[in-house]
Amino acid sequence: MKIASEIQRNENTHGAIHSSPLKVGAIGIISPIQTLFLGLTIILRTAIGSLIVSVAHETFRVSTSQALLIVGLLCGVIIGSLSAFTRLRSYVVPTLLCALFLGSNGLFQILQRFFPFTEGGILLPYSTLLDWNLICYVFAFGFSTTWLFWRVRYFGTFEVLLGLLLSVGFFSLHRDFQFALAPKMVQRLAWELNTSSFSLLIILAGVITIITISYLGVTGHPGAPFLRATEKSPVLVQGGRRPVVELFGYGIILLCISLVSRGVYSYYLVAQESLGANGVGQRSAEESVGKSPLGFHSALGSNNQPAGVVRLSGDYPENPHSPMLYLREGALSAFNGRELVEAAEGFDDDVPGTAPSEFFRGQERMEYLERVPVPHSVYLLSDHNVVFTIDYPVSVEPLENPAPERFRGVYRAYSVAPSYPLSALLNKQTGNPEWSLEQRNFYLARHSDSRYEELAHTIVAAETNPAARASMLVEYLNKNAIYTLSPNHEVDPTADPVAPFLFGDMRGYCVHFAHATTYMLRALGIPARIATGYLTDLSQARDGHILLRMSDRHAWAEAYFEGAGWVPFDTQPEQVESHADSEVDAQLLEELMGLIGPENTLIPPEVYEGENAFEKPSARWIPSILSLFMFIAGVYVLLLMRKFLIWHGWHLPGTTIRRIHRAHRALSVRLEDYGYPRAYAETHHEHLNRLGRTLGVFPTRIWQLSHKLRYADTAGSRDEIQGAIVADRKELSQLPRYKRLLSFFHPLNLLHG
Amino acid sequence: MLRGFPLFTLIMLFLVTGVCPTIAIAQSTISDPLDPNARPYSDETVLADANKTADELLSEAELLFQDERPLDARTKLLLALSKDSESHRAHAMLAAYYYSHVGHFKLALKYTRRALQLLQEQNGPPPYEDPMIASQHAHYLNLLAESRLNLDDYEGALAVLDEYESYNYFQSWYPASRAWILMKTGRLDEAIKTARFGLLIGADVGRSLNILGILLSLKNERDSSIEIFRQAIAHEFALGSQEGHPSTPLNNVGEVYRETFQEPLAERSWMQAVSLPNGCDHVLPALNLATIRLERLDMDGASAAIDNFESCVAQFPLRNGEEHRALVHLIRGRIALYNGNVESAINHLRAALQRQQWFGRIGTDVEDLQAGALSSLTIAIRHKLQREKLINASDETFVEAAGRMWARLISNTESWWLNRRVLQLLIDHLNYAEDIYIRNTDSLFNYSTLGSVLRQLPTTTLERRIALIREKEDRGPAQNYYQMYLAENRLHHGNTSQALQELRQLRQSLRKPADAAASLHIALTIAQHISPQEAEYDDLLLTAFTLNRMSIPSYGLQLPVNFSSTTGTTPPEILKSAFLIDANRRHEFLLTHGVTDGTHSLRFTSRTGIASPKTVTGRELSEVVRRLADEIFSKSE
Repeated sequence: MKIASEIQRNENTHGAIHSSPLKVGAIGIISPIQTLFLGLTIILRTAIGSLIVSVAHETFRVSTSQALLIVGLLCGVIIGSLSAFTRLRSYVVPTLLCALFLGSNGLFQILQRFFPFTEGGILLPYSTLLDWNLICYVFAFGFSTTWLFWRVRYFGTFEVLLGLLLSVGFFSLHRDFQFALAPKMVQRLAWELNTSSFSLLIILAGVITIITISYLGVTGHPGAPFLRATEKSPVLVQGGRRPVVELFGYGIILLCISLVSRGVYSYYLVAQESLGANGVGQRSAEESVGKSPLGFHSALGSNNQPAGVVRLSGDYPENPHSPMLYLREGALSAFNGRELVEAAEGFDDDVPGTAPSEFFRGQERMEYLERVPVPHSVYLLSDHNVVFTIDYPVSVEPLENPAPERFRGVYRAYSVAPSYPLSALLNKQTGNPEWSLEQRNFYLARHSDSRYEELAHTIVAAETNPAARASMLVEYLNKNAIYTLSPNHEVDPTADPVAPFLFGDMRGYCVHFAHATTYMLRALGIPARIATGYLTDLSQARDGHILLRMSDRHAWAEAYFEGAGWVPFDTQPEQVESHADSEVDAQLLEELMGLIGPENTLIPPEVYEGENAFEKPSARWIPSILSLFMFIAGVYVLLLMRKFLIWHGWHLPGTTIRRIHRAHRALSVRLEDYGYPRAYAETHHEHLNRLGRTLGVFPTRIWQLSHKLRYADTAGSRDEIQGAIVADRKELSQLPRYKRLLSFFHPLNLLHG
Repeated sequence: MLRGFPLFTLIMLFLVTGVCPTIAIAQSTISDPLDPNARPYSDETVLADANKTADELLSEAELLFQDERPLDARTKLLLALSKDSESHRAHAMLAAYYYSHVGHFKLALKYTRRALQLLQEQNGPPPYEDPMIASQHAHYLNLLAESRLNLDDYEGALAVLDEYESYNYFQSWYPASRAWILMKTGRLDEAIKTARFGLLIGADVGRSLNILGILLSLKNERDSSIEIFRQAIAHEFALGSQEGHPSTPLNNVGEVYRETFQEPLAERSWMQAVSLPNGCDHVLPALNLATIRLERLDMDGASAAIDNFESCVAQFPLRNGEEHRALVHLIRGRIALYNGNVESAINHLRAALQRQQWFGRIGTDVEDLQAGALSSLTIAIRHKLQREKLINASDETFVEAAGRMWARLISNTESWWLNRRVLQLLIDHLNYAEDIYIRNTDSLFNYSTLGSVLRQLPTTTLERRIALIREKEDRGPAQNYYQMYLAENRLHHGNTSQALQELRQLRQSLRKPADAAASLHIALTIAQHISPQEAEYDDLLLTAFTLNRMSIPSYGLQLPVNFSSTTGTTPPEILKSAFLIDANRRHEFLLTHGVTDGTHSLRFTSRTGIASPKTVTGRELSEVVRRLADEIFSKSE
């Protein structure tokens, strides 16, 4: 038989066949170990294929039943394997499949004339046909890849590489926490598992690694029954070794992986730099003095990672910046000769700078008179070193975390927020009369580059009112500057990073705009600083809940007006090259609201039990650690039982011949388990002789009976067999007891025999 | 797509009628929320709130709702609940808040169920003899039914109304609500009876008339429907600007006019609806207005309708933004598509598919939106592919060429896949493609280009399905559309000569300007299948240019022009572009090329002045050609 001979050649090549051949279905005669690898490979391929089908099913919203698609895939894998190992010509199955596909479609064309003349009668079969066609495509995918896998050398490696690249592509779709974009599978799964997406990504990376290693392990095992090493391989003959070709192949793989890694690394490097070293935004108070959390190279951009949820306790209709809301986290007012950085203690004391777990009490201020109370709570979704609040915070206090697995910290802030109309600023003086001269000069510290002052004076011309002047500066930038997330100015580390923006191409993002405005305000004698934090759109809030994303992080200029305090003078450029504006994920916000809302404690779940709207969608089945452990333990126990039967097989009923065979097998397996297996090309006789020489153990009686049975065709009497067994067992009992005991339970011995 | 009730009816009913006893307001000492010196959350008021009773807080919350300070009101209600967690009134008011102000129907449902449970625990099981409690119970049932309706649980909502009826409760909203829910469950005859009964006893006449009009239009009794809507409009106007909501029946009658191909009347109705004070309560009138303008290729008019709606909505920052965004993205995507901004169109249409929207209060379902957006997205991707064909790629590197090829492969696959999904949605979720019925009220398809999606169906299947529709069809102009779909299908399946002949005939019979989009589609489809050397090609392209020149490259077609150059040769950069250089005939358009000091200048002119002249200059000729094509064949948003 062709197949048998090919496999026999394979056996000879690898020398890994220990047991007598076994007839397995239509595949022909292959060894048990090959059968095992064949089964494992089919299972693994189907599992990986099913995973791909499931992901595609959800990503592309396939209406065809997922179960049917997986069945189609399984059929493809099995028939692909059968086709590779049987005498069928390579083109038979594809031809049959094409005939089936075309036939079913053609048959439909003919039969549709006979369907009933109703809406469903005409169209329903066509919908079924579409489903059938898709199942055929999946079958063809499973069949062709499996056939190639068995027949073409390195196709397995190609598949692994492709699989890894697809995984990178799939996960890259989830980058920046783009919750508003499909697919959202990782996020949804993370939500269901109550873990963070980051943790889940690490878990998934682990799973993919394990699958890849298993796949490589199974396919690369010398016992795997590949046909591609044969000389008669119909597709690709891979004869002797080709080191140059292999080296070239590995080079390409390494190059691909390096390029992908480099791309991913570069992308996240920028984001990481913008995020700060530890947590989001501002560093803790003592670490940040003399430093700035802002970068000038590129902005966070479209990073939609949720940063937190703000819950307003009341309405805030007096908001002069409506519908925008500023949440201040830090202030940069000290000029270090290059940029604005955080000031030392004694300045900017309106900014709490405390950790989310600490209390803060603000000072009484005159500015409170023109403000209204706005109590709000903040539920942090990512690590923040310091709190951010609506200005000015009067008090900040940590709250009990309603969902510790979801929120990284919770605090309530009682702020007094601006209620003055912006036009009222026209009647106000700049600066605080209570400031010392040193404080006033500090907030007026000018940039050494005189061009800022010249430009500022050019813009404001003859205008003398400070508020009007500030507005004119903002208006100038609004009209002339271009907002872009990646200005990519090449600036020396000691040089002014704002000059290439304001006096150059005028392309920049909030950091450039805020610095430019502040420098020019100071040049005009208006006390100014930069505030950092979040800028959000209240119109995207629901029930007073605002979802903050990383893309909402912002820096803006502020000027001080007597009685009003620090007032934002923020730019909204008319020309936008690229921007980070994206809609809030309403579904995510609703889910987070569900965690925060008081209804969880107010309304017991049994009250709304049975409502259709609350029927949970079928959750994914994810095995628990315990169930996995139980499964492994179960398999272990079953294999132990098998081992026990092999070790004591001669006790089972059967003819004398069978008992001799079982006894011989038990002896071989026991010796292998004890750590004395038969060496390559060693006969049983030589093996036993070696044991006698090295260990002083001579379990030869069973072998002699087996030898007699094979060559003399005499089985011996029952007593003779029993005596041989007892004698050999006695011989083996000379080996250390602990070794014999451990060898029985040793997991690696379970598959012996 | 017909609209049901005004959004705030329920909360007003709830607040104004007997649920909140006025006696409580009279007895409690409450702070005036309008007084700027009595801020609800100053230290003093927080302290004062802590000393108030739950009933006092509820009364203050009512006033805050009226003062349009819903978050302050919500906080008061929660404080009231912390003082008296067994207060069914507080639960019901929160339910009403989440229902009408937030649009969070699940929360509304939870609070309503709790309110009902507490009411029954405190007063025993219904029926109630005390009229006050009975009235509260009736209102809670109403809230429950409305919440379920908005969560698309129609059977659940109907069960609540059955329960309501079983206690012999009756309030004016009941017949109209029941009729609406019956309609959603497909029981049209029963719904009509209920609506007529409501009219007979004079219960909420405006809503009853409105729903009856909708039901009659669904039964194809369009004349009766229009008459009923007229009465509804008159009734709403008679109620005055505070109480009346004429925009609802105005929108609905417009939809019936559109269905009967009376576009001027339809447009007038919608114009009137959007110009009313509550004109942006819902997106539908603006959406309909934009759609009908798009059908006659008035893209500026369509844009203006949506711009006006969005600027109107922007006045209400607390309004739930999710409600209309999907539909706005859908129509903006289509406008961008006709304006030649294919990338923008694709982005809008993808966004339309991403947005979640509850459809309980309008006839349209989420599948209608998906099918409409997917079909437009399929066409947008095809247009993108066609436009890319006309880009001269001779100067691109190998990597760029490979990237472009890959992108084309992905786009082709995606377009095929989306088309397949539309067909499955049509068959499996939209009643075996009932939306093929032209201008189906609930449908969100662009009927002018629907044939491009239906062409994937087997010809016999489509013929038989359309034959079924035509059996009941009595509208003349609709026949052209059915014929167009069949012809496109035949064209796709290789029956070119017959299909082209049918399309040529159709060109003559389509109405002008109402069917301009369909005319454009037919002209360009024919042009795709004939040789550019034929005289008919010139004629078709000229027609298309007049109707909407931005669509020409979207069909992969080149505009025939005469060419003259100071160099005396035809540069290869122009050969593969949006222009077809043809010296054999005299064409309407002329392209003039000149080179001065290495700077190329390209001028596009029209002999009869149907297009204003355009000149583009630059160092790279390929770039100049591309920019000129962009200027002519796309329009900035």
